[in-house]
Amino acid sequence: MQVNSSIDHLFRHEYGKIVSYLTARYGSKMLDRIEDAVQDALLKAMQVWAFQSVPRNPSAWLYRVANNRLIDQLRRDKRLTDFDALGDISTVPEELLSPLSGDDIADEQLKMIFACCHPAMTEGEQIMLSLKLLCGLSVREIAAALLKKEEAVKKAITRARKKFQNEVGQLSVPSGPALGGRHKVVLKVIYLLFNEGYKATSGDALIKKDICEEAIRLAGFLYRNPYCRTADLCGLLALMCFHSARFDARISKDGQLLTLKKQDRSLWDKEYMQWGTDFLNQASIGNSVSRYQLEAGIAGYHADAVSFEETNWEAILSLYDLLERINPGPMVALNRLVVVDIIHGTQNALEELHSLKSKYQLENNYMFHSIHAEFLESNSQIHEAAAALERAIHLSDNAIEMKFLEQRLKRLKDCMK
Amino acid sequence: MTKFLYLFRGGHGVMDKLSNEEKQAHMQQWQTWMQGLAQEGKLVDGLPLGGEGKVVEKRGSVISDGPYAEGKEIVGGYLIVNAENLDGAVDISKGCPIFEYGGNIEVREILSM
Repeated sequence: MQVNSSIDHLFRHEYGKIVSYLTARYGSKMLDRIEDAVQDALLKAMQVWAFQSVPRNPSAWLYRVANNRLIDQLRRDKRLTDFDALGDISTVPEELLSPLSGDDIADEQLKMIFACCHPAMTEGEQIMLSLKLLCGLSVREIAAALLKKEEAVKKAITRARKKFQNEVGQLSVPSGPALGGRHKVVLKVIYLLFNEGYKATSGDALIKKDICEEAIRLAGFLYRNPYCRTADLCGLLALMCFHSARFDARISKDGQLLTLKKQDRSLWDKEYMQWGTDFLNQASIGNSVSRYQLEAGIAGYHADAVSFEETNWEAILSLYDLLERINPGPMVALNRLVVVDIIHGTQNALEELHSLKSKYQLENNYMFHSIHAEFLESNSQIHEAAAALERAIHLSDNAIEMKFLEQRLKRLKDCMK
Repeated sequence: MTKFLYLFRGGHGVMDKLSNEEKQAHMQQWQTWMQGLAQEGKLVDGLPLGGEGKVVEKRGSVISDGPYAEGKEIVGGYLIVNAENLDGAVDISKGCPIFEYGGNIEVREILSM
């Protein structure tokens, strides 16, 4: 089926746009009703547009239908008096009619991002609510992408929605000192959102790629606001662009995970790489240093390198050193050791790995055993490497990773013969 | 050429549950199908129908909420096509996306002198 690219993701994006707009207008308490009204409008659009063609300005049409539906519902509940002060609420806002002046719409969506990241909600709830309300994903799509049961996602969203209705109140972008803290939470949610999309799981690949694009789109709303356009944000945008550039290259045609070393660099998306570089340059202005900037910097050196061998590993290692200082944790430490191995040799890497093991209690961490196996193998300790791989396979809960580990084990065993 | 009426029934319960992306994809399938009919000169007219209605009987002395048929029997829309004969009209209907969600099409000849 040929899909008209101009209406690509139309329903999904319109959903987020109109829900944001109506919630900003009527308040967070109305969220249930608003979502119903917008869903109804989309259903009606589907029926009518199936027979005719999509109108020139679908936003205005959908907004009008959803708004009317909501007013009908409120009248039936006799709650409309609350909103009479708003004046003639059946008029379509100017900015919805004119596709060029989308600033207010972007504004409402920015407010909605802050609302979805309200501190009353847990991190998981913030992510799922963002996917639902801002990105217009269905419960089924969210469950497929996050590898969770539909029922569990539904429950979490119901819980989050209740908090949203009771806690958020009027939607706004925090100002003054309050902005800083909330801004950090928003960046973290966008970062986690992106990671969920980027993770190499067997979740629905198409939806996962969409989630990565959505995360970048949401960050774009922050970027348009001068108060939200911080060096952190630019770092996060750069990081997401560099990773997105490699999205397709990191998985082979037969669905296997490819390490950086084995990726065909000509498949890296040039456009994303350029955006990554541009954002990274903007992120480097100023004195603040965050994990996003450092991770983007690392990704940037990889993007710049013509080949794995000709990568500026020294520079990457110094960024990892900094990263470990401001954002310590086992994942950063393990990734850093891969670089230590390349620069200072396997013996050094192995020694550091052993001290990490007790420091972070990595006995049950599959990444630890996977990296351990790699070092052991290059140190010609084939039998030990195979044992470590078996341990990693045993601990992995990710089908694609597991397949990748099993391939490595098979290769090792072939060597042992 | 004779004109035929298609009455579309069913599928609504499923449509409600579709994700936004699936709704859009389904809509686009309909558009593609209808554009195809239009290009071949087979499409005359057609529109979807709302879910609510009234049934008026006995000159309006009996008015009930309708359509009171079972959900799967509710007419969701109509289409008028040009075809050689009934078999031809049935053939044309086979490409309709309504079958994806368990709906059906009643094909009737529109009589003319």
